[in-house]
Amino acid sequence: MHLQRDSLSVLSDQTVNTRLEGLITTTDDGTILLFNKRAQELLDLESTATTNKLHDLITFYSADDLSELSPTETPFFSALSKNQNQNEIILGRKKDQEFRWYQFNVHLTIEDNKKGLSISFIDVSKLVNKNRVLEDKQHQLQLLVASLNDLVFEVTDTGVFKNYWTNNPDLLFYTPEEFLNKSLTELFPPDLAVPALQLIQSSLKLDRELKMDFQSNLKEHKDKWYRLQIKPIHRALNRVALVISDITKQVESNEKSKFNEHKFNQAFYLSGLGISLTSLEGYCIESNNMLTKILGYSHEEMSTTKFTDRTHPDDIDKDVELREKLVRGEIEAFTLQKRYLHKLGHFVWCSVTVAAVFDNANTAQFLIVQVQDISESKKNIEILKRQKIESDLVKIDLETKIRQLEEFANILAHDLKGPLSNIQMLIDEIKVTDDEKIKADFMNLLDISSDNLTETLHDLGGILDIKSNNSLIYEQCNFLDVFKKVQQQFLEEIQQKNATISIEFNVKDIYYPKIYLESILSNLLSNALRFTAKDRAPRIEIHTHLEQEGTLLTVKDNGLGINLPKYKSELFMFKKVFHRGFETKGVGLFLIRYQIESLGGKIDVQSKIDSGSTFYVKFLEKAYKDPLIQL
Amino acid sequence: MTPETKRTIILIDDNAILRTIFGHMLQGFTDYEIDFHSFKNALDALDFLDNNDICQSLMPPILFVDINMPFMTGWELMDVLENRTDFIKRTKIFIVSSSTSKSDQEQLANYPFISGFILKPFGKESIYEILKKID
Repeated sequence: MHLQRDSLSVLSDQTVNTRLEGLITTTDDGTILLFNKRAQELLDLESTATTNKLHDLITFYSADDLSELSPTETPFFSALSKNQNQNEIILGRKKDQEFRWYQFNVHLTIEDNKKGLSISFIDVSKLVNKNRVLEDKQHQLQLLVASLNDLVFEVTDTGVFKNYWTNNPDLLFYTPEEFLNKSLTELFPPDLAVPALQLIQSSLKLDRELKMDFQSNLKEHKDKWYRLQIKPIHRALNRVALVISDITKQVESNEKSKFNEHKFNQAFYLSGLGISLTSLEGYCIESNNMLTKILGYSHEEMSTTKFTDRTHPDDIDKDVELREKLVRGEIEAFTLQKRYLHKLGHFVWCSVTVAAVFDNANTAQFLIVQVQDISESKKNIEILKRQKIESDLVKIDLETKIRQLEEFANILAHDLKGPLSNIQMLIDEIKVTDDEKIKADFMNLLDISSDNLTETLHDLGGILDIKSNNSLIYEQCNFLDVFKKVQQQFLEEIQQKNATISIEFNVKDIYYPKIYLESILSNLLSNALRFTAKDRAPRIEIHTHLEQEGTLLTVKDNGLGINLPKYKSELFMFKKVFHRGFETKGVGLFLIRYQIESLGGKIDVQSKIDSGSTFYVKFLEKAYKDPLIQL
Repeated sequence: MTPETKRTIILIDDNAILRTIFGHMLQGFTDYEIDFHSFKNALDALDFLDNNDICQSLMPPILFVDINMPFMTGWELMDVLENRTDFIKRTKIFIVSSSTSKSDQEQLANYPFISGFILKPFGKESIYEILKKID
C-alpha cells in the first residue's frame, strides 16, 4: 500500500469530486486509502505524522445518547467483523463544541483479494438537530400535560378518539386500549355523546373554540361536574382537541357564592330596616325600598346628595365623628339615635347602625347603614313622659289633699275635742257643786271656752273657704302695690322696732288672687316683725325672682329664727307656736300654706336660731299651670 | 303635817281652762294634803323639776301629762324622762289626752313606765280613785 504525497490520497475523479456525498475507502484495518473533497470538507481530514486510520483520526459519538464510541463500536469495525454492510448509521462528531451529524453507508469491498471498506456519508446535522428540538418540545409538552389536571384527546370529526394526553391515567374513563379509535357514541350514553358530537362538528364548522358543562351520570363520578372544551386543530383537517376538566369545586363555589349573593339580596332588598351602602364621602351607593319609605327620598336622590344634607343639624357632628372612627378602624360598628330630614320637611327619629366594609389591605371601602324608624316609639315615650308629669302632678295634688285631711282629723281631735271636753267637764262640775263661787268661776270659764270654740271654728271656716276656692278671682297683681297696702297695717310696729324693709321685685306682676297674695305677704311680714331679736333692729328683705316653674317670693328676716330640725314638720300646722314668751295663735302660717297649696304652689323655710329665717313662696300661676297639664 | 307627808301632783297641759278645772277638782280631795303645780308646756315643767326635788315626800309624786303641746309634746317629754331612771322609779306618770288616735295608743307601749291613760273629758271621781289607790 502506498501513500501519496501527504499520505492521504484524494479521489481525483471529476464525478466523484462533485458529489455531495463524502466518499472514503479504507483497508481492512481502517487505514484511509482514498477520499474525495467532500469527505475532506466534512471530516476535516488532514494527514498526521502518526496515523491515517479513520477511527484514530476522528472520535464518533452515538446519535442515541451522545456517548463517545470506542473504535470497536463504530459501524466500520462491525462491517469488517460481521462481514456485513452497515447502512444509514448516524454518527456524530464534535466540531467547535458542537455536534455535526453524518449518515454513513459502509460497504465491504474486495480488491486484489484484499478486504476494504467503501464509506459514503452525507451531512445530516440540520435534520438531526431539528429532530432534537422536536424531541425537546415533545418532552416539554409531556411535562406541560403532566402539570395539567385535564384530559386532552385528539378526536376526529366523527367523534373517534385518536390520541390522548393526561397526567393521571386513572382519570380516563376507560383504558386507552378500550377507547382509542372508538367513537364517542360507542363509549358514552347518548345524552352526553350526541351533544358532544354536535359540539365537535359546530366547532369545526365555525372554526371556533366551544364548550359545554355537564354533570356525570356514571356511578364512579356521581355528581361531579365536568367541562368539555372543543378546539379545532388547525394543522390537522377534521381533527379537534377535546379537553375535559373537572370543575366540580368551581361549580360548587359558584353555587355557594350565588346562594350567598341571593341571600344578601333577599336580606338587603326585603329587609324591614332601611339599608344603604354609603360611600366614605357620604353618598348612597345602593339602597333598599324601605329606606325610601322611611325618608321619602328616591335612591337617585340619595346617591347625589350626602347623608349630612338630610341629617338634623344638631346630630351631624356626632354622626360624622363616629363614621370617621369606623373608617379608621377604631370601632367595629356603632348605633346612634338621630333625626333625618324627611323629604316632606319634617324630622324622623331613627336608630341608625353603621358598620364599615374593608378590603384585603384593610382600607375601608364603604359603609353599611341600617336605619330603623323609631319616631313612633319616640312619640310614645314623649306621651308617656307627659303622662308621667301629669300623674305626678295629680299625685302631688292627692298627697296634699290626703295630708290636709289628716290635718283636719288632728284639728278635730285636738282643737275641737279639747275645748268640747272642757265644756263638758265644766258643766259636770257646775251641776254637782254647792259652792256658789266655784259655780260663778266655772260659768266664767264656760264663757271663755265657748268663745275659744267659736274662734277656732271661725279660723277653720276661713280654711274651709280656701278649700272650696271656686269663687276666687284671679287678677293681675302688682307686688309693689300689694306690699304698700300690707305695709300700712304694720306701720306702728315698724316704727316701734325701728325696722328697715328693703324690697326688690324682679318679677313685678303676678296673675293671682289678690286677697291671697295680701294674706301671704301680711302673715310673713307679721311674723318677721313679731319674732325679732332684742339686741338688733329688724332688717327685712322682700324679693321676687323668676324661676323655671314660676315666680319665687322670699321674705328674709334677722330675727329669732326657728329650731328647724325640731319644728319643721309642724311649722305650717294649725295652731302651732314655736316661740316661748309670745302670745300667738299659730294660725297664720297654716292659713297661708293652705292658700298657697290650694293653688298648686309651695311654701318652705330656711332658718337658723338667733340669726333669722327666710320664707320661700313658689307660686304656681295659672298661666303656667295650664300648659303643663296639657302636656 | 310636815311637807314630807304631802303628795306632789303636777299637771302639764297647754289648755288653761283644763288646768283651772283640774285645780278645782284637787281642792275637793280631802284624804291628804296635796302640793299642786301646773305648767302650760313641758319645757316649763322640766325647768321646775330641775330646780325642785319633788321625790322627798313619802308618797310618790304623780304627773299628769297632755300629749299635744307646743315646743315639746308629751311623748317628747317621756323621751327625756326615760333616761332619768331614778325619777321614773319614784313617780307615777299618767297621760291625759283627748286623742283616740291609733298612733298615740301605739306610742303608749313604748313607755312601760307610764301608769295609765286618762281620756278627756274625765270626771273628778276618776282622779280621786287614782289618788286614793297610789300610796
